[in-house]
Amino acid sequence: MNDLKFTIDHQSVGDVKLLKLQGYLDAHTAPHLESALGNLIQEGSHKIVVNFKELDYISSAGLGVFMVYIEDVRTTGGDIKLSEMKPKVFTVFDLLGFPMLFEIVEHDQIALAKFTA
Amino acid sequence: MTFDTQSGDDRKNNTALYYSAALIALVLKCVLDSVFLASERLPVSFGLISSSMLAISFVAGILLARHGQISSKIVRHSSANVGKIILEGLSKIVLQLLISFLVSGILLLLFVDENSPSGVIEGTAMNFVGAIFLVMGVEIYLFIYYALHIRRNEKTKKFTKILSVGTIILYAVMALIRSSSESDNPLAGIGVFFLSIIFILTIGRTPWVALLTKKEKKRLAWLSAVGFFAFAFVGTLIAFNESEGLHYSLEFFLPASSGLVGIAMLFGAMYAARLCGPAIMSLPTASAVDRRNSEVSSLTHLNRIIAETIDFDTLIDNLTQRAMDVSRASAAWCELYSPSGERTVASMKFINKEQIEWLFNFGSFEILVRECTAPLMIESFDEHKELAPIASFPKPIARSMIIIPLYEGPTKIGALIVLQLQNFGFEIDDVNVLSSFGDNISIALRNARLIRESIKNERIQHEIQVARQIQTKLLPQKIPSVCGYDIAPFSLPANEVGGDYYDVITLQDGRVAVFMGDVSGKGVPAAFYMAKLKGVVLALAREVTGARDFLSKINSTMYGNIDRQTYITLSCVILEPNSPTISLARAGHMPFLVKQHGGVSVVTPRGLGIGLAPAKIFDANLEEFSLELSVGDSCFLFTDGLSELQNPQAQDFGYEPMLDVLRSPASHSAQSIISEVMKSADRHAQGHPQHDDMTALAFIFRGTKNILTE
Repeated sequence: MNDLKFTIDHQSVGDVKLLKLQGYLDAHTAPHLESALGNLIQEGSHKIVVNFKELDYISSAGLGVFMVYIEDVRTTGGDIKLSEMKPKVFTVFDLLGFPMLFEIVEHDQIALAKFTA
Repeated sequence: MTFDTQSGDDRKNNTALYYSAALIALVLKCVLDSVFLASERLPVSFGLISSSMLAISFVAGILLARHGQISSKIVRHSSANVGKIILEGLSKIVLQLLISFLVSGILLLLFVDENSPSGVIEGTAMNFVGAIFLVMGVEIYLFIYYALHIRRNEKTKKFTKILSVGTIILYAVMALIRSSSESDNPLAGIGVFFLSIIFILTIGRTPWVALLTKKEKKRLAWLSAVGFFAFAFVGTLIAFNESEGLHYSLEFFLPASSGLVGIAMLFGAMYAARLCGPAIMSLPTASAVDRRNSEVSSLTHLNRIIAETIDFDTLIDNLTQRAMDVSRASAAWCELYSPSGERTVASMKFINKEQIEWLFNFGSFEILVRECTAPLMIESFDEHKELAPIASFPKPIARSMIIIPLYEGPTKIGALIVLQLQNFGFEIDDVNVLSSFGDNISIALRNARLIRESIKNERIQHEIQVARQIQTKLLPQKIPSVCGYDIAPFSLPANEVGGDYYDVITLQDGRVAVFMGDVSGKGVPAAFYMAKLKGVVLALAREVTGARDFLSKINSTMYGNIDRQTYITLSCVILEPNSPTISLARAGHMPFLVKQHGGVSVVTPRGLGIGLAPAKIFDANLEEFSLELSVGDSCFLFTDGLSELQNPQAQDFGYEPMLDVLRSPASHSAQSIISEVMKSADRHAQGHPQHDDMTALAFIFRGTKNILTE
């Protein structure tokens, strides 16, 4: 399997951390996301929005990463919200039933608003 | 060949035996001689003969004992060892000669006043002196015999034979001449001269002298000089000074033996002289030779280390040490560069990290090392424009150095750096030797890397195999038949097992549950969970009431018992023999493709993947559909390995082609559905490699028993 590129762009909006994912999220690149989320949570950031606008592909390993941290984040009163998924990527999440576990929204603003509300 | 075939113990016993015999003979002789000296009534000739016989026994005993001891050591030696052995042997016999001379001198001075023995004490003393020098003679002969033997070639063999025979003949001749006339015969002199020529020829070349170390060469030089004079002097005393105590003692001990011992001394002197020349001549070049030898042995040793050491760190450590030894450096280190240019010190000798960093803090030093593409020697920091500051520090780490860049193909992968405290501590020769070291280190590095990768690959391949075996064992060997239904599965695992699962389980009440699932992840971990799942499925099969119930119970059992980031997608269809009603439930898995009412559709009951949520949420979000099939209706289950199969343009297979197959009238059996789908998938992929397991299952409703099917 060729190593396709995956990058994360970090931004902050108030006390909410915004992660913009780019490229392919599979078994090779998932650890990158895992450590990024891990670091944020260790620093004390529990309000996280993950933007999927530039994400082309996600595998089961990528989906699993979210499951690792969601419980801890919610126990501290925070959340991980997912936004702006491409249709193909959304289908993957949808089939798995993620909309019943995570808030999947169409724009970052909606997610941010939900945090402040 | 003169290899002793006896065992060591046997030989030791024999040696002890011979020595004992010799000692007894000597003692007996002394006693006998004393008896004859004391009394004048006994026949002289009898005394002479028996005394001589005892003397001969003594010599024979010593000869056999010493020969036994030495012959075990007569094996082929390398040229390097030959020199050391001969040197040792020579120093032993020279020492022995000096001691023999000293002891004899003392004995003669103390006990022997006149030349004719008049007393028992004198006689005994002369016997001892004679014995001592006969032993000396034996030693010299054996030493020369041994020295010639360990460097034997055809010529030497021939000459040694001639020599041995010649010596015996000469001795016999001399003995006869002695007994018949008083003075020496010129014939003896000619014989000795002839023998000497053969002897010189036999010794031949002495190439092993060159291979001694400088110290050994010095030792050989003065030892052979001393030896020559000692042998010559003593030999002259024995052979020509008839009035001398030595000569007379030997004659007393064994008549005519002085000639034999004299010849031995002559040979000894000639041998010593023969060695002296080359030894002295080789002294001026000795240092250079030593240097070169040490370089060669370093490289030999180096190659052996490289061939034998697989552990990378040990290897680099050894190589750095060797490089230091061979260039006589005061410190050395080896650094490696990662593809991104990061520098790591792989090993360091007599220098620490701080000192290395201190050196690299000097921009000029860093640039020099970084941009070095060929072996480079900085002879003197003081005279080097950019590096002079380093040398000007009160306690400089170095004042000269050599940098050897290490390459793997065209890429520079590291560098070997050796330092010397003094200016001009290195020569061009050092650069050359280290260059070859550098080449060898590069080879070693590449080998180590290849081995590491190979081991890693093997481990990976093995794991893949294990996972595949587990998976194969977990999939059903045979599908149970269900009355009214035609069921056909398909399974094509990818190289690295992807955790696909399917099963057909008979429930308590005769109904059959068909499962299609996918464990997230790959390899052995996924296979593990597959096994766990299968166990849970089989255990629950007894008590479940329907598709939804089955999935709910599976989730309840597995949630909390699998990793947080792992989940399992499952689809479940319950079939009843002879019944057109089927029930479907889906836990996060791919949708069902159903042919019903003349058309095809994608059926997606709501449901979360197994392991993502506790029962409360999972159950609340799980739907169960019930479908009524007509004869000929079919259903197709699959995993995402099939729907996401890519062609060279990175396009997914998707659901459409599969729906097409279901639609097609050609799909009249479960197996034909499978075949058609797979053919279609093949056409789509166009040879593009498959990365995930592909699993599918199709079933067709044939109708109940009462209705004849088509």
